[in-house]
Amino acid sequence: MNLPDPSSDAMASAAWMEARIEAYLDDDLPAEERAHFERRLSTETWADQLALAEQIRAGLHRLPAPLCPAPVTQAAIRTARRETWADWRGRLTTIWRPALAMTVLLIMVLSAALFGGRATPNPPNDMAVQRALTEVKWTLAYLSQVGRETGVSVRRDVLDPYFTPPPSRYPEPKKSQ
Amino acid sequence: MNLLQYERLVHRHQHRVYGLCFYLLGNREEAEDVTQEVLIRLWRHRDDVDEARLPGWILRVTRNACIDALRRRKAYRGMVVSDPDGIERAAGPGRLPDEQAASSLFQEHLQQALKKVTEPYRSILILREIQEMKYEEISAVMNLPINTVKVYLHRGRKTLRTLLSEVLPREFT
Repeated sequence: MNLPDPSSDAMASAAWMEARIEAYLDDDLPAEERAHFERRLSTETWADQLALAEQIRAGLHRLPAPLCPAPVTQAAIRTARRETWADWRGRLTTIWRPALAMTVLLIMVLSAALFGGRATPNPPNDMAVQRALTEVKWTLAYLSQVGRETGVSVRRDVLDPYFTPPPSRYPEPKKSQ
Repeated sequence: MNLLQYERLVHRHQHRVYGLCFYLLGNREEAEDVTQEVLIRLWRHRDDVDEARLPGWILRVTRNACIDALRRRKAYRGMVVSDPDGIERAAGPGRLPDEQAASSLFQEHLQQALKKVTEPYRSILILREIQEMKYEEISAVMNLPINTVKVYLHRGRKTLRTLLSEVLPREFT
């Protein structure tokens, strides 16, 4: 219990009252202190102080709790959305884009391995070969005709080392009528 | 926390954040700026904040941001700024029209006196008397033991009483 000493001076007693006004309004005082406090309230000074304390509490409760203007929250939410999008874009750039490129490259390599064959040169065009063979035959026939007319021919043993037979897989050119 | 959850939290806490800014800064435009800054900070720290502790966290961040703002404008001690009609113009939720319209001389003096109360008493007065928060919630916001919050609240009220005793005519008391 912390009651003021009756023999103490008025200042100490006033300090005791002052320290307990708010506790009295909060109903936090022990019964004996509360009774002592209420006895002291009979003086005009402390009754006024208590009334003022009550009035302040009521006045504070009456102060309006202002509403947050809508543009403030909208701006915050807009910023959050923008940052979310930027975050996703950043992830796309740093991770997804190289990953996508690697995937495409992998698909190309696999496709080439699975479906691509070894490159082979194209066989010669049949028409061109026939035309060349025909030209060779006519050239040889012309040389043969020249040899018959002049009585000059090349001996077989001289010719053989230089003679290469034509490839047999190509058809013989048709004889012209 | 995804974007939808964030929007839900913004709508839940916006008025309390703004109210604290408004009374700590005493200026509507600055209160809007700081509120926006706090709400964006909530988004940027969304992965660091446990939702159960969010109410305390967001008001603690709000108070710190307000104190920073006051320091920036080098008027922390004075806190008497323009916008004397701001509180009257601001709409209050759940107040009766006649209460909103009430602008007695006592209320004027009370608002002025509140601006003169120093920290941390002023924040505690606002949180307890205007925002009607529990001692436990105030303790979380202020990062103080509950008993200390009670002591500071008493001191804040006493300061208000002293300030008002000096300015009020006798008939108000």
